[in-house]
Amino acid sequence: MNYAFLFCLIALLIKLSAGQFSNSRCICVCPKDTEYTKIRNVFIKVVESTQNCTCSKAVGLPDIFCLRCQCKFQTRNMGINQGVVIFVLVVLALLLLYLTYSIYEKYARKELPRNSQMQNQQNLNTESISNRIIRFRTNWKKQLTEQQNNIYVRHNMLS
Amino acid sequence: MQDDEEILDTNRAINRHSGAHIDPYEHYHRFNRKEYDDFTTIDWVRDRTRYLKRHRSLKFDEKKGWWNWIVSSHDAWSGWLIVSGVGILSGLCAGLIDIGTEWMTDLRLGVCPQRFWLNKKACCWSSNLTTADNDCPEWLSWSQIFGIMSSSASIFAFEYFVYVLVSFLLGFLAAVLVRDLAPYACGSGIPEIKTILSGFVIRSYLGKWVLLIKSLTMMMVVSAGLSLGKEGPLVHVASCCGNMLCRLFPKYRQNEVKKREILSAAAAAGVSVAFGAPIGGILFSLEEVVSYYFPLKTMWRSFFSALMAAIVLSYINPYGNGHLVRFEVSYDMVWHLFELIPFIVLGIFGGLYGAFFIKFNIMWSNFRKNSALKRFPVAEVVVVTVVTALLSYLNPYTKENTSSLIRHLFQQCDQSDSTPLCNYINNGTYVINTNDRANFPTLPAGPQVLRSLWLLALAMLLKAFVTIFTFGIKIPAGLFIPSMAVGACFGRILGVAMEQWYYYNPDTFFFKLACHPGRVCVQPGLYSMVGAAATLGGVTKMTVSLVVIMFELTGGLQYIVPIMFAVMTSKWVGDAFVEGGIYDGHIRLNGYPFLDSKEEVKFTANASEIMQPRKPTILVTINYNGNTVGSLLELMQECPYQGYPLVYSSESQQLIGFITRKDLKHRLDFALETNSNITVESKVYFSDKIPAQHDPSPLLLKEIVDLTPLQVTLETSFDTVLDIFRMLGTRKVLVIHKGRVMGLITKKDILRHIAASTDQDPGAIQFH
Repeated sequence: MNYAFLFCLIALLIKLSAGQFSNSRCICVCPKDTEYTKIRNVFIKVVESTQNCTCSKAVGLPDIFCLRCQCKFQTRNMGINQGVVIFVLVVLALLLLYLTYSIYEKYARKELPRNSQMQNQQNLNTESISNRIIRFRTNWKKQLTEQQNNIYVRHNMLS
Repeated sequence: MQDDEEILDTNRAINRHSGAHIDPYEHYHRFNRKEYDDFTTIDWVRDRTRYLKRHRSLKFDEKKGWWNWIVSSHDAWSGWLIVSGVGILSGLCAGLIDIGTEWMTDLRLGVCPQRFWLNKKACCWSSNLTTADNDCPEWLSWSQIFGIMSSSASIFAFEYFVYVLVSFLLGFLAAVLVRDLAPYACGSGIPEIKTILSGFVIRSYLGKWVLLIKSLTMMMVVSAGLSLGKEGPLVHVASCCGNMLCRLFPKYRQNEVKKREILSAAAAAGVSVAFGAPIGGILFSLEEVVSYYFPLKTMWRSFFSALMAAIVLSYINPYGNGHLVRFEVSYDMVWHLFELIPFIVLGIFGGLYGAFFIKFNIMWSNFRKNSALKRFPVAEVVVVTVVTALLSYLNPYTKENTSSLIRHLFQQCDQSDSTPLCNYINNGTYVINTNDRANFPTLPAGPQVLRSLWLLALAMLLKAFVTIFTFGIKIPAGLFIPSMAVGACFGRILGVAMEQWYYYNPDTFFFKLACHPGRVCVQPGLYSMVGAAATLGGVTKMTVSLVVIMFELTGGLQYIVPIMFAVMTSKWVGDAFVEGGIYDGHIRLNGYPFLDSKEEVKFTANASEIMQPRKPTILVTINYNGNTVGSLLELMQECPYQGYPLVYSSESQQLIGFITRKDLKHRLDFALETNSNITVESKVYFSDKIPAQHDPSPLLLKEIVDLTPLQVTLETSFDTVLDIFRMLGTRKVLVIHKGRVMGLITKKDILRHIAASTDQDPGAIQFH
C-alpha cells in the first residue's frame, strides 16, 4: 500500500509539472578569431521554431561572419526536474520530522514504550490502524538496533 | 539392514508422489518463515531441490483445471515479470538520484530564484546573455543574494564560507540519516552484494528503508563534494528493488537460490543505469558479482533487466543530452601505433595507483575498525566533508562536481570551449572549421593551459589522497568516479605533454611516420579516457566489463583497443603488488565467507587436514535409535554445533544422513509447545516405523533428515573439496573413512584454510 501511495505521488507530481516549462532555444557557436566574436562566441536565443534558428536571426551578425557559425535548435522539458526536486524535498522533510520526533521520544518520554506495550496487549484482537503502526515501528526499531549494533558497536560488517 | 531399505522405500515413495504431495517443508515454512539465520550461508543444493519439487508439483497440478493452469503459467513468467520490474524501478531510482544530485550540487554555489528547482546550467539554459561557461543574470550566487558586494575579497570569503557550510550540512545530515534510520545504507555495497550472491544471508540488507535512505543520502553526499561516486551504491539500490519485488512472488520469496538469480539480474540493471551502459552492466554482473552457481538463464534475465532499466533512464533523460551516453566524446580521429607507449605508461600508472589505493584504504579501514575512531562515525564524516570542501574550493577543478570534471577532461578543445584548459595560442593563421574537427591543427599551449595543468595535478593528488579516507566512512560511497577522475587528470596531463612535444618537435621519427602536418595528431581527451579506464581497472581489477563500460560511457567505439591495452597493463602491474581488487580487499577485511571462483589454488592438502573435529576430539553424532526429546535437547545444549550426522550406532559410525541444528531445535521446541502429548520423555524416531505401544506419544522427525549429504574421503585433495564447495554451493561436506563418518568440512574451514595458507589471519573469518 505504501508503495502504491508513493507511486501515485510521483505520478501526480510528474503529471502536474509536465509540459508546464518546456521551452526551446537556439544556440550558435562561432569561431573566436573575428572582431565580432573575440569576446563572445556563443550566442543563445529563445526561439519557438526551428525555422527561426539561423545565425543571422539569432545572432544578428553580418552575413559574412555567419558562414562559419553553427546553430542548433534545442528543446527541453524541465517538468520532470521540478517534480523530482519537490519530491526529494518533501521526502527529506518528512524524514527529518520523523527523526526529530524519535529523538524527542527517546529523551523526553522514556515511559512511552511501556504504554504502547500495554495497548498492544489490550487490543490484540481488534487491531486498529494506530496499533498496526506501533507494531510496525517496534519491529522496525528492533531491526534498526540490530543493524546499528552490527555496524557501530561490533564493527563486523561494512567497515 | 531393514531400516536401510525402509529409508530407501519411503524416499522413493516421496519421489514418486511428490507431484501430488505437499512439499515436506511446506508446513514447516508456515511456522518458520526465516529459514536461515542472519549471517549464515544458504544451502544451494537443498534450495535447488526444493525449487524443483515445487516446480514439479505445479506442473502436475496444471492438468487439473484452468485455474491451476493460470497459477502455473503465472509462476513460470514471474521471473521475467520481476526482472522487468527491477529494470523499471532501478531506472526510476537512478533518474531521480541523477536529477536530484545535479540540483543539489549547485546549491553550494547559489540558487535560481525564479525556479528554485533548476541547477545553474538549466537556469541559464535559455538566457541570452550567457556564454558557454560564465554566469547568467538569472542565476544568483549566495553573495549576490545576501547583498555582499563590497570587495572581491569579501565576496570570495563569503562564498567560500557558504560552500563549506552547505557541504557540512549535507554531509552531516546524510551521516545522521544513515545512522538513525538505515545503518546498512552505508558503504558501496558491492562487496556485500557479491557475498550475498555467493550465498550469504544478511537480513534486511536489501530492505526498503535501506533503499530509501541510500537513494536520498547518495544525492546529499555527492552534492557535499565528497570524493565519492554514486555508481557503486546504485548496484545496491537496484538489488534492493529486486529484493522488494521478490517478496511479491512465492516462487522467489521462499527460495533463497531463486532470489539470488533475480539479484544478479538486478546488479546488471544497477550498473546499466549507473553508467548508462546496459551491456557493460551484464558483463559486470557476469565478471564481478556472479559466481559459479548461476545458469546461463540468468544472463538473459540480466540482459532484459538492463535493457528495461536503460529504456526508462533514457526516457527520463537525466543528462539532458537526449541519450544515455554520459561523457560523450565528439571526436573520432584514429589513434597511432606509437601512442601505445604512452598508453602503457597510463596503464602502469593505473596499476600503481590501484595498488597504492587498495593498500592504504584497507590499512586505514583496518585502523578505523580497531581504534578509537570507530566510536565517532558521524564526526568522522563531518571532518572528512569539511576538509574536502575547504581544499576543493581553492581549485576550480575540484570545486566543480567530479563527473563534470571528467566530462570536461574527456572533451577535445574546440572553438566553443574558452576554458583555461583550452587556451591555445591561435594567431589567426589557421581557419578553424567547426564541421571538420580532424583538421583542427595542433597549436602551442598558452600560459593558461600550463597553469591549468598544474591545477589538474593538484586536483589529482587531492582526489587520490582524500578518496583513501573517504571510501569506508559511514555514508553511501562508491569509488568509480573518483578513481576515474584521478586517471583522467593524469591522462590529460600526459596527453597535453605529448601534444606539445609534437608541436615543438614534429620531426621526431615516430611523429613523422604517423602524423600528417596540419592535422590533429595527439588527442589529449583520448589520453584522459585511457587513463581513467586504467586507474579504475587498477582499483577494481575489472577487465572486460570495464572496457565495455568505458566505451558505452563515452561512445568512443574507436578507442576500444587502447583502453583494452591500458586496462590489461594496469591489471598486470596491479596484480604484482596487490592480489585482488578493492572489493575483495573489503570482503577479506570484514571476513565475509566468499569463495572467489577466479582464484587459483596454489597449495595442497587433504580433506583430513581441514576437517573438523581434529583428534583427539570425536565427532558428535546422533544415533538412529534410542533418542528421546530430552536427550536430543541435552545433546544440543552440550555440543552447540551447526549440525549433526545421523548414524546407525556410535560403534559403527555408519552414515545415514545429516540433521541441522536449526531444524532439530525448531522441531523439538515446536512439538513441545504445541503438542501436549509430547514430553521430554517422548521417543524420537527418524523413520516411519513406530512401535504400536507408545507412551508418551512419539515424535517423528523423518523430514528434517537430509539423506543426501555430500561425502568425500579422508584422502580427497583440497582443490577437489574446494571445487565441490564452489560449484555446488553446499554448506558442508562429510568426510568418510572406511564407511565411517570421521568429520565434516564447512565453508568456514575452507576459508580459514585459504586464509592460513595466504598469510592472513584465519581468525578474521567469523561467519559460516
